[in-house]
Amino acid sequence: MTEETVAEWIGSASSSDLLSLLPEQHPLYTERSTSETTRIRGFALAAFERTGLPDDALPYVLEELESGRDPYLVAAAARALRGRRPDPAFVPFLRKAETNIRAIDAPVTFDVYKPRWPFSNATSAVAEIRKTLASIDPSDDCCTIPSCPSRSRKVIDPNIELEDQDGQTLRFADFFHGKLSVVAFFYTRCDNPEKCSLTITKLARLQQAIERGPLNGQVRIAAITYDPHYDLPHRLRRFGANRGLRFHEDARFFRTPGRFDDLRAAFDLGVNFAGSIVNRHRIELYVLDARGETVATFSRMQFDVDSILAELQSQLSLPPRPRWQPLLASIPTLFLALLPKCPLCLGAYLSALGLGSMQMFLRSPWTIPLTIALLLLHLWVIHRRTRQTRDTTPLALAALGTLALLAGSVLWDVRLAAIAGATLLVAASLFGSRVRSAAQRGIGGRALATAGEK
Amino acid sequence: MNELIASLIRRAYQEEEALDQLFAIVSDPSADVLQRRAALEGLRELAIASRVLKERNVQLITMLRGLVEDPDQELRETAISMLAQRKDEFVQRRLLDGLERREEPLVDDAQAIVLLGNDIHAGFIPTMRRLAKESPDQAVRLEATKLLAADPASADLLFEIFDDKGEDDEVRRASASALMSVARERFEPRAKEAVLDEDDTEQVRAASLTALTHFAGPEQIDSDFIARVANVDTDQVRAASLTNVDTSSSERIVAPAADAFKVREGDLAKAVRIFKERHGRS
Repeated sequence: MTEETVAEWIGSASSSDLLSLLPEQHPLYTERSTSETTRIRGFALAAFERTGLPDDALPYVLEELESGRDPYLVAAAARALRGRRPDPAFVPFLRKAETNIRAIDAPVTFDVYKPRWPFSNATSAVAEIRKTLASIDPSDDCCTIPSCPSRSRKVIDPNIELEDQDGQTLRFADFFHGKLSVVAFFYTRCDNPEKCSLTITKLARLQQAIERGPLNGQVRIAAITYDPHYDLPHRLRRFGANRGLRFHEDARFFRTPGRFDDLRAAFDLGVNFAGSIVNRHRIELYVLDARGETVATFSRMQFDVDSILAELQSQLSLPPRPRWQPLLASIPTLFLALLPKCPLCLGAYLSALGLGSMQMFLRSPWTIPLTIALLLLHLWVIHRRTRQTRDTTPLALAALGTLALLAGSVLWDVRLAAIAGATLLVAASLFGSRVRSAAQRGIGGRALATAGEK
Repeated sequence: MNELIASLIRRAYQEEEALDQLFAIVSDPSADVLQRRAALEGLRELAIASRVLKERNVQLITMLRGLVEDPDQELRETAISMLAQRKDEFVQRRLLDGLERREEPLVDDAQAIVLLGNDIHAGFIPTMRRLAKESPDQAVRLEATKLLAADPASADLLFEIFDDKGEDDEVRRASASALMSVARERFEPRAKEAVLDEDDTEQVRAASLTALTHFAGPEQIDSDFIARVANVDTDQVRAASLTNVDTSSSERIVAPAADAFKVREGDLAKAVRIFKERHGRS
């Protein structure tokens, strides 16, 4: 498909269609030059001004403003932000973009795709940034845009072959199994100082912070190149050493002497190529557990050393997470739900156990208050979980179930309502046992977390 | 350089007004061409060091793009070169379109290739592969081969060029350097063969030996190879000295031939000498 055809399609695409073009690994970008990739991405980003900018596209836009060095892409990102309600939270990103791009800005236009010079209606990155800044009312309610790691687990083939900066070959598991580790992706020919060079500089700072503190000896540091055929061991060594990395047994840079595609697929790396040349990549750093599985992904936005340190500390303070742990977590709520909380339920349990002769027990005067107390306890447990997960579905189910059970067995004797109530309570317990990170469910946070994965 | 332009350049480090005047002179097709050239050279210098001009990069790029088709060749070439150094997408596209004959070339092909080489991300690899293989112009094949050093996926083509004894020596030497950069391990055995191949040219043998001397892994430089290079020395230095007689040269004299002739050190002889110094045996 020619880039002109893609541009024509972009002209009438919806925001969700445009969003689908943003991940670097999209096959559309395979075997296209960096210039072509930049033109397509820029044209797509700018089109969000027309379609509206959805939450999930926001990280791509903010990434471009924070780290972009191409006037066309930065101008397009500034324009895209005008596709949603102006928010003072964007101001720091726009200011950073202006600082980054001012000395390398250029005339651009979005009126036509791949314009010939001279073009009419020229604009520039700085002009677009200032226009977007002017549309923001600083007195608006300001929210911070959290930069949090995403938590999806990726299992990496332990047999992927790696070669380190000294030419030593080993399997992925030889280095990444047995200890917590941090791995960043980069390539030495990256010409954006805000990306690979800065990533490795920060990795060196992280190494120093780790080796000075309580994490010393507990974490391995690594970086793997996107460009394994060019980034031979001597280039890896020089690139790391020039940025302050001190290589040793637990701090190494790698390339894949065999197939890079296996590693690329395992991490779902945000990178694409024209032949052997990287045409576009995102910033990406992973924390891997002692089994070599990813437990946290910092991607797209600039990461800071303190966040990674905090993540490592939190990982080390957690006990090893057995695979059956999520199942175990649901047992207490299930127990509460299945606890007989009404005469009807108790009757059912007793008859099931063959203890029908104890029917008179059901009419004892303390049965009803005990039932109500147990139901309230159950509601309270679910309410506490709701505060963590911000998912109100279990609480709503439990409340409905409680009402139905009380109405069907205590107030009136409606057997169907009581059975429905008991069923709802079990359902509420099962829903409530899902563990989800509250941090990933805010507007910006959710978008950042999901896009980081794309 | 005329005094007016020199004074404007000095002032333009600080003053916007002087900068405005320089822009105006360069952009004015009716102004004296020597003044325009001097003003553009001044802007080239200011672009490196002047904070004032950095704030006006959009204006600078707009002006430079306007000069790309200027009737004065020197102005045109300076502007294109400044844009190419800034990795300007517009000029990269024009240079590539010129090489592919989709548009009138802005500069000659070899120069266009050198300018594109400022940016490995400019998307030139397919064009360079074609030109390195097919261009009838030796200078174009040479520059295209040099740029393929950025592309490990072009290793097979570079081997083809290196192995083609009918190809120009300079192009083959460029392919040797490129291979050492992108396919060192594969190239080392082939380079050793070339060094010892008496049917090959001195230039290619010297280039191969130089590459091995500086970049080969220790496992490639075994005692057998060192001994065979020592034998190359005796014959080739004599041959080189006979073809490089230069009695007026003050350059380094090659000892084995010095008693008969004052000679300029031949390429292969020099490569052998450095190899022996590096690897300590003869």
